[in-house]
Order: sequence, then C-alpha cells, then structure tokens
Amino acid sequence: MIVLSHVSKSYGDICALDDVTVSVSKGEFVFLVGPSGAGKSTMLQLLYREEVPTEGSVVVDNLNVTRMSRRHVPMLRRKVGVVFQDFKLLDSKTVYENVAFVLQVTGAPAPFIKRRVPQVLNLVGLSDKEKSYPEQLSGGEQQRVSMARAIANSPRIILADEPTGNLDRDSSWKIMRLLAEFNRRGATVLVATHDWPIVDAMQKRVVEIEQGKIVRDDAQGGYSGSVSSDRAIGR
Amino acid sequence: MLKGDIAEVFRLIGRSVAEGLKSIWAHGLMSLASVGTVTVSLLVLAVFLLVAANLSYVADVLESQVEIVAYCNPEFDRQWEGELLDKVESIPGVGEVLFVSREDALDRLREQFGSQADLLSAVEEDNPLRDSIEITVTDPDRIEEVAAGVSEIESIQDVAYPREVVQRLYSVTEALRAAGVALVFLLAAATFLLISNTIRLTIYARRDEIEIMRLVGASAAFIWGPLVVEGLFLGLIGAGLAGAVVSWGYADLINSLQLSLPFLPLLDTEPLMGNLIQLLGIIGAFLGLLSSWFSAQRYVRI
Ligand SMILES: Nc1ncnc2c1ncn2[C@@H]1O[C@H](COP(=O)(O)OP(=O)(O)OP(=O)(O)O)[C@@H](O)[C@H]1O
Ligand SMILES: [Mg+2]
Repeated sequence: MIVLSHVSKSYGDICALDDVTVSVSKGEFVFLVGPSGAGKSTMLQLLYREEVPTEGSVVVDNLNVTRMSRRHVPMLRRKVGVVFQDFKLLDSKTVYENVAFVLQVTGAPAPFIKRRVPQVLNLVGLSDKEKSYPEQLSGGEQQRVSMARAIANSPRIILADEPTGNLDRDSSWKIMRLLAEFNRRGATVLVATHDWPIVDAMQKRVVEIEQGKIVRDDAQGGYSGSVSSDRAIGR
Repeated sequence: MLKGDIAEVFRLIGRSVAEGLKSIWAHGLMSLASVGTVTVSLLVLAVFLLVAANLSYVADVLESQVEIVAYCNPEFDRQWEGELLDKVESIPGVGEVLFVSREDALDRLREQFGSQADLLSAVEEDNPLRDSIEITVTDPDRIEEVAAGVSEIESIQDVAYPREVVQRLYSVTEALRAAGVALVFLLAAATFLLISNTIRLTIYARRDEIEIMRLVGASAAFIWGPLVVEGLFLGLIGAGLAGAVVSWGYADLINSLQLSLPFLPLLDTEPLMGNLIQLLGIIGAFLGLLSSWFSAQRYVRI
C-alpha cells in the first residue's frame, strides 16, 4: 500500500530524512515515533505529496508519488485522508458544513452528500453537534470533526500527524480508538505521535525515527522499545 | 460516466460563479477599487478611441472636400474652355471638374460680402479676378500628383490647394492614436495589478478553505474557478460601467455639438457605440481573466 525506498529529503542543509526504506501493507496500523525534529511529519508529507523527496521513490496505493504530474495530485489526495494536530476546521462553517465541504469540492453529488455527512458524523459520535460551530466544541470534539472530514471521501489511507497533541487523556483515547476503528473497517492508518502511554497500551506496529533514519521497526511494540519509557519521561 | 462528468462540470461552474460573486461582495472596498480602475482605464481608452475615430473621420471628410484650384492665364480665351476641361479630366486621379469664370468668381465674392458688397464697387469696373477650374481628387493621397499634372497644362498659370491643413490633421490623428495606445497599455498594467491584487486578497481571505481543498484533493479547476470568475466579473462590471458612461456621454456630446457646430462632421452613435461597447467588454473580460489567472497560478500551490 505504501512503499518508500531509499528516500531522502533535505531542506537546504537540513537533512530531514536520510535514506529511509520502509513499506506498509494494506490494512496495517502503524505508529510513527521519535524525538522532535526526527522527520515524522516530513515522512507523512511525502505520502500526500505536500513535499517531494530529494532522492528515492515513494509509492502510495500503486501511484508513483515521486514522478506524479501536478494534474494527478488531487487523485492521490482523494485516496489519503489527513488529520492534523490543529484540526484545520473552517470556523465560519458548521460541523455539518465542514464535513460536507470536502465532498462538495471533490465534486460529489448533493444527494450523496446528504446521506454521507450524517453517516460519518454518527461514526465519530457527533450526530447531535451538526449545527454547532467549531468554536462551540471542545478540542476533542473538534478533532473528531476533522476525522469525520478525513474519512468522508472513504480514503483507503489515513494519515494522522500528532492527532492527540492538544488533547487530554480521555479525548486522546477516543481519537485513537476511532483511528483503530477506521483501521478495523479496512483503512491503512499511519499515526505520528509522542503519546507514549497510548502507543505502549495499543501494541501496534511501531516505526521509530531518529535524525531522519529508521532506528526501530517492531511489528508489535511500545513507544520506546526495550529501554522502557525513559525517553518519554525526558519529554 | 460521461453523464457524471458533465454534471461535475456544471457543479464546478455553478459553484465557481456563486463563490466568485460572493467574494466580490465580501471584499466590497477592494472590489470597488478594482472595478473603478477597470472603469477608468476603459473610459480613457474609449475617449481616445472616440476622439481618434472622429478626427480621422473629420480628416477624411476634409480630404474628400479638398479641392485644387487652378488659375488660368489672364489671356486665356474662353473658346478653349471645353478642351481645357478635357485635358484636366484626362489626368489620372481627377474627380469632378468645375469651370468658374471670372464673372462667376466676382458674383461669389459679392455674395460673401453680403451687405457690404459696395466695397467691391471699386473693382467691378475692371474685374481683377481670373478664370479658374475647381478640381476634386478621387483619392486624397494623390492630391500633389494631380496638382503637378494640372500645373503643366499651358493655359494654367498657377495651382493652389490646402495641403498643410490636411497633413497637420493627419499627424494630429496619428499622434493621438500613438499616445492613446501608450496610455492604454499603462492603464491596462494598472488594472492588471489591481485585479490581481484583489484576487490575492481573496486567496488570503480564503487561505484556510483553499488549504483544505488542496488537502482533500479538489482539482485545480475547483480551486481556481471561483478566483477566475471573480476576476472575470470585476473586469466585466468595470467594462459595463465604462460602456454606460461613454454611450451616455457621447450621445449627449453629439446632441449639443450638433446644435452649436452643425457643420462639424461627427460620427453617429450607431454603429460606433455598439462596436465600442463590445470592444470594452472584451478588453475588460480579458484583463479580468488574465490577472486573476495570474494570481491563482502564482499564489495557490496545488
Ligand atoms: N519546510 C521546512 N523547511 C525547512 N526545514 C524543515 C521544513 N520542514 C521540516 N524541516 C526540518 O526537518 C526536520 C524534520 O522535521 P519534521 O517536522 O519532520 O520533524 P518531526 O519528527 O515531525 O518533529 P515533531 O515531533 O516536533 O513534529 C527538522 O529539523 C525541521 O526543522
Ligand atoms: Mg511533526
């Protein structure tokens, strides 16, 4: 589903990713961990072509992202739902409108939108907040709206960049459980996070990056491998 | 599949128009400034075009009226009048030919003097005027050639024609056209800057929306559509205003000028205005499209 081979990404002198080779199969759930500045966000950005690699190749759902022409980028992005730490909701639109927006701008027909929006809002447990504006919601609720938006187009891949970075314990768990639920329904999910208790508890595949290199790839692991939690405590 | 594509195109157009108009409304002041520059630019263009068109029309009319007056020798014997006219008519480029005898010429003078015709009594005894031939030319450009030809005829003493007036009018028209074109380019550049800046403002105001659109895979057409429509409408509204002002103003001008200067040849409002408004509309639309497309291209990354 996702294949990075010998991928490097530099910003001028800064080398954000250094000869990274990794692949993720269809239906996997992967945590991407590592210290700040390790290159986690950069790696996710390569997957939805927000950035292009300096070297190496990136293939997502059989699309060669590296050699993709500009015209085809929207096709890639419709296959990939992205969730951010800062939610990126539109303040002037209601919850319903925020979700409907992505369907409208990707050309979905109105009857489909009418059916689909309540469906995904129900999935994230926000059916009763349809008419609220983002500022009237808690952080956790806002993040769930952004997740409803990310899955509205039924993407096959979901990328989350520190989705719980701004949230309390309970809300964080809700978000992670939702991501796991999307995964159970067939989506391939990649989550970059510093949320070590959850990573430790969920025991999923963990890929650890440090200074742009993959230093660990456990099929089922915790936040910091064998040397339990001292890095996490340092944070 | 094809049916679905067409439906999507219509949704795209509908949404672009709706969003574009909404955006014009939302940026009231900036939109007004953009429309204002389009209007002013196109107005200046229109005024230049109108003045140039009318001047060249006046020049044409004057040119077609320009006559060569060929004066005969004082000794000219009128029995050769027919042959002389034949000779003149045989010169290429000659239009109409009229023989004016010295008596006719004196009569004309008398008419022009009107009530003060007494002044002429001194000359009436011994008419100092000469017989002459008034010659029009078929093509104003050949006037010198014709004049030269006429002056070679034996019985013709000298030839006169108002070369300078026409030539000066010509060069004024030319200069005016050149100045108009230069000024219009400057104004077009100003218009371009203002519209593209308005669009840039829209892009800034909608940056969050545009960001989401990019991330969820909206096509470039979907993102650019509303922006380009906004530019197009700014250009068209400006052109419409300019067209309205010009057609109202020109009709008014013609009316009042024809009262005070009835002999001045001016172009009628139709088809002049129809063509002019069409031209303004095309230029306005083109400028709007060009500048908004430029901004969209430049400031929205896909
Ligand atoms: N647009 C950019 N321009 C220049 N340097 C960048 C850019 N984006 C990232 N970097 C650099 O690349 C490196 C990796 O950044 P990245 O954002 O991928 O780290 P991260 O693992 O997501 O960190 P964090 O956990 O703090 O989010 C950092 O040194 C960062 O400064
Ligand atoms: Mg990051």
